[in-house]
Amino acid sequence: MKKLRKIVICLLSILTFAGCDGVDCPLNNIVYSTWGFYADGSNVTIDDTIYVYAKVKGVDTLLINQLYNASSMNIPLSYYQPADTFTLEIHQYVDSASYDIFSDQIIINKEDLAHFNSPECGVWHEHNIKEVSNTTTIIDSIQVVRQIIDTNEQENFRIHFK
Amino acid sequence: MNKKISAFILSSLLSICPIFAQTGTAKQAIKNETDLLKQPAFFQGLAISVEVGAPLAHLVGADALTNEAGVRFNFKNKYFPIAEVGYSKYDTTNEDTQIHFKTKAPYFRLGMDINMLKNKLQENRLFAGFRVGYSTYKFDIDGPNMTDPVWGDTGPLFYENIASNRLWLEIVFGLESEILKHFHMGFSLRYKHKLHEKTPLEANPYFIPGFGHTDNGFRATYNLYFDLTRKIKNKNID
Repeated sequence: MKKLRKIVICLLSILTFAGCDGVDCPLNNIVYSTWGFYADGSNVTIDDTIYVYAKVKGVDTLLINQLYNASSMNIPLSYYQPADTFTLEIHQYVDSASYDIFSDQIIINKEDLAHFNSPECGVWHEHNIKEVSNTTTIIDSIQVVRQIIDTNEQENFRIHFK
Repeated sequence: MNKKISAFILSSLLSICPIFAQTGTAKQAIKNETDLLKQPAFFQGLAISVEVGAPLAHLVGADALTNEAGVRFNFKNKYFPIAEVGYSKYDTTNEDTQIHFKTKAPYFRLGMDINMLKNKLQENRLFAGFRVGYSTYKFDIDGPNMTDPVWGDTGPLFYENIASNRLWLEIVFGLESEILKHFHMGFSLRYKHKLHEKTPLEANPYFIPGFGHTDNGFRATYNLYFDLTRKIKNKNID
């Protein structure tokens, strides 16, 4: 009988805790594509200053401003455009007062999907990469290593610099 | 002081759990220790069950409305194979996001409870068991238009009839007591665990009929049982 009572108390205790049900929403509903920087097949740190612009309705819009000493970057993709055009600009300082500018254009063809998580957390937009193309001023090639861009924050692209 | 608190907790539990009172009377009914050695006959009866906890929760404000019934066999007062069938409706809109989620579908479970009490002749039971559940269902989602924060484009949030299914396992612990002749009341605590799921690309199902919200975890049930046939027999007595 004592055992039975202990079991009941245990069950009720578990039930009490089981009632505390919460929803963990991500802090940010924007999904970012992750780009790694590579040279000679290895991940490298770029100690020049990086700017990234997106072509939004024909106008260059700054997405990344003065990224420095980085080995990767995160860029959002559009929710509804079938293709996004980005400009990667690298400012290579010659001395403290002057610098050379190198830039390449990157075009991403993709499919977009609004992914519902819960009424509390809302919706985020995932992307399925179809094709990537680029100009070759400083970029040798771009490799797609993970086609799906979602909330997992894993590397999607490898930029191989010359 | 601790003893008084313990006594209070136990007396409170006694007042809400008729199983103790029943167990007490049942214990008195056992004439001697040899009764414990007697084995009940194999077929002990058939009962139907109704889950009343979920409809009560809906009455006090829960979004889900679930109606569930079951058929349970009683073999030797120890093994209780059971089939449960239910129908769930879930309709909710979040006040902050204004996102609306709706589903309704049937589900079923098959499983067995095992009476863990040594004395199988009494009408009170302490169960451990399992269920395997399955539901195939569709759900709808709609909400305000979404705006791209960088590109500025706007698009609708509207998905209809997204098809999904889930197979799951429930580990069951429960208590049951006879409250009236032919009527039993039971309480169970179940740990549910997803076994297999068809997940659509465009959405995580927020609520699954028969399973509840998408994460693994505990849920409680409160059942009433009605004995269609009642036949507690003892081989030695018969």
